[in-house]
Amino acid sequence: MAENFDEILDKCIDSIGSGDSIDDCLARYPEYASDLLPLLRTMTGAQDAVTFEPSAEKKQAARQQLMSMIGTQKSGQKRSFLSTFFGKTKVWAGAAAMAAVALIAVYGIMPLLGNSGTPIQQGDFALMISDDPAVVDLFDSVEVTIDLVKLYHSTEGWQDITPETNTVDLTDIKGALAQKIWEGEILVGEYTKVRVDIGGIDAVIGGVPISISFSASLVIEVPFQIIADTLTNYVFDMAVFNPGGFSYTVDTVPDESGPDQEFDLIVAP
Amino acid sequence: MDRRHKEAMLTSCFNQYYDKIARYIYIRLGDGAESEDLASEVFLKAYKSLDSFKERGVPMQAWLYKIAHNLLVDHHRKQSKMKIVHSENDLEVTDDNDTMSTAFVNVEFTRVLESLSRLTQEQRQVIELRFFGGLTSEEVGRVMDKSSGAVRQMQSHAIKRLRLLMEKQ
Repeated sequence: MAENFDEILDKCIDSIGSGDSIDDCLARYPEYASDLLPLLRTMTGAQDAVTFEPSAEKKQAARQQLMSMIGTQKSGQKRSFLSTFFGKTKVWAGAAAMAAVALIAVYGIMPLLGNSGTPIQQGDFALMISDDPAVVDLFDSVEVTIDLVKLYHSTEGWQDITPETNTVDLTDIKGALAQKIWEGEILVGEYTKVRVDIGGIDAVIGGVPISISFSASLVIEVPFQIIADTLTNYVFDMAVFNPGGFSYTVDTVPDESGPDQEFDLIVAP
Repeated sequence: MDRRHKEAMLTSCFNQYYDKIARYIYIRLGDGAESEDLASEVFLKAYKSLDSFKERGVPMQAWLYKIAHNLLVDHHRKQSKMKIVHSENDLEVTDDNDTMSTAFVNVEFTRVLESLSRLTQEQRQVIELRFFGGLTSEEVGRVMDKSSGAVRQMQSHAIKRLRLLMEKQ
């Protein structure tokens, strides 16, 4: 069914919001270019007129207030390992899944000079892996090899990280346990995506190697903010699903990912 | 969906939408500090009402904008009790605590606000949520209880009218 003008205009508004230019949109819809141009200029003109940006201090204060309320509630109902286990089991019973969680911790800043000579603020960064015990107990081992981690900075683009520990065995990090795989400094600012490139997964059940299918790149689009002098934790959650029979596949779990997830750090074997 | 899951979603939404919600409020208030305070209140109110949020009904970001809208309505109601006389000058930004430092920007901003104020309430809300709130048409539809098709149609009419209004000024 052919798109009508309202739909095309809507798509152009979305694509400009994602970083495309007006010209990009017009090139996609040349037959509508003359109608689209004045409307898209009206949109960008209106947006450009509103230069207000909330202050980082106010935002941080609001965030801390929210986290403090959440923390107050959590301290009043501290969950045991078993309650965590059964809570997650209930959520994932239908999917028969096991989850792998990567946590990113970021703190501190260090002024550096970029190529242009502009001072760049950086914060420390740590990446850890964990998993959910719901299904992983079936396995003798599930060794996941992570070749590369990429973080998408909202203005600077992809930032590459090579893990210091690039293989994690999910059976060693059940439940709330997590394993750090990288720590270092990254740019302060807003990040919108975390991508984990999987090199391979070697899984064994009852001494028999089991094939697990996976996408070469797992991406979670849960944004997080790296703020100077502030520690940020980010959870990257992926799960092995059992769609049926003896087949298993790995996918991300965005709802279980993001900053401020609970974890207990373990020392890498 | 358990409470912990909802809390994780809310903190994620905070990172993604705090700035946008503050900007959405700013379009209505024209005051940076007040907009930041109200944006914070949106998340605190959301946290307190978290048990009533159902993921399958409305996406959390749309739910947050509904809360923002309700807070704005309350705010205007309180303001109207305090201010007996409204004038065109109410649209002008006099608070310099925000980033608008040049007269030109103030003029442009006022021009946009005045043009927006001449749209219908629904057209204005579509423009504000789409252009400044960063929601998709689908999400705007969830906030306004409209279909995404109806939102797209309103959006087209609103931009055409906004264009004429901005050209006239």
